[in-house]
Amino acid sequence: MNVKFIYILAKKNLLDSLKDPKVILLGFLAPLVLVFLMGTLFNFEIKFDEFSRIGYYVEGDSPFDIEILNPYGFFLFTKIPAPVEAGIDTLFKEKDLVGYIKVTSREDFTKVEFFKNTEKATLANVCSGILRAAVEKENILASYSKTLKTWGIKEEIIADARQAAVSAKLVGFSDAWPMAGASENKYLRYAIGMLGMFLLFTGLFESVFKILEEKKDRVFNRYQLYGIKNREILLGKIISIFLTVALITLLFFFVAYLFLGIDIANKPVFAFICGAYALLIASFSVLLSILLKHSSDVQTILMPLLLVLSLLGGFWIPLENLSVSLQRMSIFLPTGAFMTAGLAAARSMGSDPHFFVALSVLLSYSVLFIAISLKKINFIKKGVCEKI
Amino acid sequence: MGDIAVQFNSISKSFANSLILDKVSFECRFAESVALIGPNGSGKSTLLGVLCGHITPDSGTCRANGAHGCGEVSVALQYPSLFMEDTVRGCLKFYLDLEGSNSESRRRYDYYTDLFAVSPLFGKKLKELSGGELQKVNLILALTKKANIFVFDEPTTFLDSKSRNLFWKEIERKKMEGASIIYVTHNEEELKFFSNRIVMLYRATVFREGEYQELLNKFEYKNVYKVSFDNPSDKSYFLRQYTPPVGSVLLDTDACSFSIYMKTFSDPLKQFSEDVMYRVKNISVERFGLLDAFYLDGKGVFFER
Repeated sequence: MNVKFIYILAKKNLLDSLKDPKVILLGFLAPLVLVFLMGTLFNFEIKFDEFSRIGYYVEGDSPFDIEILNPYGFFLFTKIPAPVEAGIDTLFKEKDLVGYIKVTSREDFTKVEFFKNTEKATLANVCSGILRAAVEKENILASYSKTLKTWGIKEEIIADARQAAVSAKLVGFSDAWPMAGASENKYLRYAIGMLGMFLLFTGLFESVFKILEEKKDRVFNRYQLYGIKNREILLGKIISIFLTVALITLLFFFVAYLFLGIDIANKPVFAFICGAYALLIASFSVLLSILLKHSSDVQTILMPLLLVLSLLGGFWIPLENLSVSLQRMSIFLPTGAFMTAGLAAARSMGSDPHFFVALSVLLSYSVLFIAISLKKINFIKKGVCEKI
Repeated sequence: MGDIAVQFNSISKSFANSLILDKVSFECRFAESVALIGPNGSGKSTLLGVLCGHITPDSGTCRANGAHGCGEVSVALQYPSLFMEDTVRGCLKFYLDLEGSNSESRRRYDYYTDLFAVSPLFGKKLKELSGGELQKVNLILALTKKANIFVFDEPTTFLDSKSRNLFWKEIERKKMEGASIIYVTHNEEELKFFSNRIVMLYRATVFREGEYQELLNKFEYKNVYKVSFDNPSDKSYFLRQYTPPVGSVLLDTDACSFSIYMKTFSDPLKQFSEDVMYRVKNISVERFGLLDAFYLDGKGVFFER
């Protein structure tokens, strides 16, 4: 292994990436556009579903205004005169509700509860996310009931899921997703989600496009003439992508801190999480670029893949709004692992039971991708060189 | 001649059930230049790919400098294999770094950039260069590399005559210094003046090998008459009345021209009256060359001699 070659390759690739307008366009603008598009998409789903009304009850003179949930007419509300806690299943059925909100005033805070209709799981999930966003937007000092903490999922379902996860020796099912409230930095989750998206898009698009172009131009042929081995090319690529992603992370932190006052980088362990995630993206993108043959495949294959990954990573809608099975699955996906570990690290390390699992998921994916890339890099040789 | 620099030993290679090289063997010594010639698809570039280590032969061995691989081999392939988004400066600097930037390599780098006058192109991206300019960069990279075996695949394609002369002067100099040169060309002059030996590849095998004149003498053809017309109808009119001399071969080159390969120095067109000759646009006479032999492929003449 020649360190000099790796250094020269990494340096060149890094400088090329930072000068490439494609990186700027796809890495920075694409996530912003997608957030907007996906947000609109989810909102339309609710807006045009006439049968998906939400029941609500506001007790006394609570400062919580139900209309703040509905500034764009996304919800249809049905006022329920009195809470019917005992027979809430009956209420859902009779009124055909997607969920039920109960707002009650307490001495020091407002208690907001959302009961999810588990028969309309998807819509109820989305509604609960928007409800939470609205609560956060108003920055109401809210306290959530046990029911709201689990976002309407019935206790027995959670118990079953937890039991299933434990018996399968997987992670314990968490009912402790971070909740909003006055004590929590309300931008934290979004900052981490957006960071994840930027890193994912920038790292993948930049490197996959560039490596494919290099494959097309048969640049690796020439590298080999200088005695550079395949594994040195691979490491040079991974390091340069890693550094590109790391630079973007620093920029993101800087902007977030300077303009939004969000300080999520004050814990060294969070930097470590970002590093693990960047390594994962770098190795994943190198693997993808080895497997793909033409740059035209990049959008076709990467866009749907990224949409799914970032959706299941909780970048667009919070993970707790996914169904229980998807929530559990997302823990084992790299983007979900990043969100879980990132949030846990940003709040306080180790407070989340998924923290170390998520971290090990990130690292094991990285190792796996690098290992497969090392095997597959011969593709470059066979696929390109033999056509001279 | 020096020791053996490159040795191809019974190299065979197939792509998709098509045999490209069939037990090809030859060698090139230090201080010697060997030209590889053959029609398109005869396996020349594949053979160079084997030498560079890009292509693994199905059987046979290739040894450079007495070892496998491409350690001290410098290559300028037909395809430049460069990242086209790079600037000329960035590209040259990068490969200089890979080579190991020291005073000697920088001296070579400065020398060749001056020689081919590429300094004005430094700020341009490779994709913005003309074919000739890109080929200059390709050649500079190959010549700058410290090596004692140089491999070129059609090195002077796209180059103007000045750059072509400069290149061949350099090659002669490298050869004098003891370097071994292997090149592919489709240019008769480059074959005649710059090669010590020629390897003729034909239908996946080495058809002939030897010095230029020695190989040429094996063909009975002396001259090639190239006749062109203003339009296809003139050509048809002409050919209707024409019977090629015994032993010569008439070859259609395109819609408005044809060539006559003659075994004697006699004029094959002397039988025609002025009104017929009036339709001819141009007649040129050239000496039969080794590359002409490949044009005759398919006429059944190539193997006749």
